[in-house]
Amino acid sequence: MIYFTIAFRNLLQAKRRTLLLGTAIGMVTFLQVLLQSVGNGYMENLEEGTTALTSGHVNVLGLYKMSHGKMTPFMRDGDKILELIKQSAPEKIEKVYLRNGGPGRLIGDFNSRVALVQGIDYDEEVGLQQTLVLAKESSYVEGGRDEAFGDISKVKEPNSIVLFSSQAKTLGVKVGDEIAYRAFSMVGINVTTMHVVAVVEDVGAISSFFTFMSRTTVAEAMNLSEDVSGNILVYLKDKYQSQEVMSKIRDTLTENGYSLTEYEGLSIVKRWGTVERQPWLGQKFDTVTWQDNVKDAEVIVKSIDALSFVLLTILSVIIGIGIINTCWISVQERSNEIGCIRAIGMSSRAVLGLFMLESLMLGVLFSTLGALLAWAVVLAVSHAEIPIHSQALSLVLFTNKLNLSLFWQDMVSAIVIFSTITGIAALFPALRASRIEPIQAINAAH
Amino acid sequence: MRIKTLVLVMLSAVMVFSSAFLIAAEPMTQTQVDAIIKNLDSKTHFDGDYKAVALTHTINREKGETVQKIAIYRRDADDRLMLLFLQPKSDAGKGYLMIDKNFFSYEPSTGSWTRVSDERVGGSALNRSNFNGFEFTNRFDGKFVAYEKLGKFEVAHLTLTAKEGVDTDEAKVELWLETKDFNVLKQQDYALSGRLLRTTYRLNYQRLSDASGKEQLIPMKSIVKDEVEIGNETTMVLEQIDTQPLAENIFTKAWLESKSR
Repeated sequence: MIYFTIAFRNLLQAKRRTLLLGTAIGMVTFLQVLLQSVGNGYMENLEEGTTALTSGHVNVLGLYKMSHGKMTPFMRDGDKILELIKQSAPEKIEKVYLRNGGPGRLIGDFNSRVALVQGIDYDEEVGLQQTLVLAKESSYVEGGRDEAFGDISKVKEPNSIVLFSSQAKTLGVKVGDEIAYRAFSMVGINVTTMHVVAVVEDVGAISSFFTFMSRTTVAEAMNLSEDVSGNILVYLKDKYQSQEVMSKIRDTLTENGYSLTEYEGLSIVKRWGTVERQPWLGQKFDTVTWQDNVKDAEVIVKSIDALSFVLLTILSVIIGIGIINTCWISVQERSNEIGCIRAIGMSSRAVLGLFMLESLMLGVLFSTLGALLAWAVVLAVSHAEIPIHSQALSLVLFTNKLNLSLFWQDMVSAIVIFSTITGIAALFPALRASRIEPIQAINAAH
Repeated sequence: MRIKTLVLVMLSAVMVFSSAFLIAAEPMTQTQVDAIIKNLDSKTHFDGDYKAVALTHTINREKGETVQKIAIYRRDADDRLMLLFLQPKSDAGKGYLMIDKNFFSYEPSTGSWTRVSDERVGGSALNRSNFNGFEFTNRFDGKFVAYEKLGKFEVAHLTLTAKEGVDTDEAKVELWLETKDFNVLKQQDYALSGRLLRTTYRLNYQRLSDASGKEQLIPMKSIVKDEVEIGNETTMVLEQIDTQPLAENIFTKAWLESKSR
């Protein structure tokens, strides 16, 4: 305990030095935690976006081949498959939804764009209801009002469509307008007039590719019979059990005589061409987890991590040199003191421990302060719901509002890392201090 | 087989021409309508091979104007069609090939073949049917609507409805045929939803003889207006038509690939 008191008093005695070094340590920790929260926020947006909008935690997609080289995203006996999935892991599955859909072209008065249409059962899909938020008219109409119009629940009505803000902007339409929907189906192409019943806020880049209609509307537009659907979205009580549940679903489907594609841990978008060329005909099922679907986007998180690693390594080296230098000066200045305490019986190991402790205390104290400051900033930013005005940035970040997310583990690891760096940096000067003989120290002081 | 086809064509032609004398007075009978439709298929299908060069001018509301030169190779007896893009330079070597009712597109820069829909050939408003002959008889049931005026032309207006169970992009086709040779001057295609998809005008019909000596009528100019993406329009003019037999290997993927090497 006495060593803690001495070390703490030493820090207090050299206030300016302690404050300057501590501020540097605190700022680096702050930066590290903040960068981590950016990465976490991005992954959170991405997960929420993909799971709620398109895939669920486990996605079971129907693939149908009438002839070689032509595969369509259709599933027969969807209701039966849905029941089998529910039974495969009832204790782990929270909700299961059936959707239909496929690629199509949305055509406005001046522009058009390709989209993957999702036919939904709006009343059932509570998660989707929470994710979709009406967008202000000004976000998609030049000179539009700062109010949100439309009613998402009207998607249930025949020939109704919900567009994302970026889609409405490209197509030049607003709530109440009509667009043409050119559906690519197994039997050819059909064009239907759709009423825009709502325009919702973008949920990242994914918003450019997806759009929502009712299942009935999609079935009519694509000329699908009642027993044909597209995919099943499985939501779990614990999303991190997706691999386990997916295996159970695959086993259940296989036991019931259904064929499955080989699991490769990649989204079907990346494997479409390969699977389409495989020499089988008829119905097969493809399964992926939400982690498989966000794999590509993890590159962005890894880039953020790599950037922060490089940045923090440089800063850590600078801080390390600063600490070595400061400790070295401190050892020089306090050589008389070191000589005295060594003369009254303190061992060289105790002197080493004292200097190390001093440095560790500095590291722990200020890295904790830095981490706490970052936590406060993350809380404030999340609470403030700061809008992102750049469309490109919002597409990349998968959100319209700045979202930072922090876990306590990130804070603890940052504190441990920077305290350790501080401790290691102090090791060399502390070793020098411990090796000073008392008489030598006193002579040097005189 | 050829004699049988010839007799059928001649019979259809007799029925069509005899009906022409009656049109001023009475609406067409169902038999006459069926005969006209059958004759349309027959006189736009060649017994032998067919080769032509198409010059197209496309106005696309999003991409602006483009001009393309396309070589067309047809062998109707086997339902074969090959389109080879000659110009502009950026499109040269691209192409389409129809094999067993499947329509494939070839991209020379990547060397890849993709199965595509019949629509928007080369980014234009043209679809596959603009390069092929009509295929109405097996897919549609025809009905007489009325005699009408289309500009300066007296025309017979027919409605074709897709037959039950037939896979076709158009649920309904409206035809306006001039009353002398019963050539299609105007065609409107409707989607399953009832929405108008496109309007096609076929002009400047020219008589040709194919390898068997059968007389064909080919519209030398076609104008296709996209009625969904209003403003998109393509005009196609045919030239250098040749009905001499084509080499066997033309209707193969390898042949198209060799053109861009």
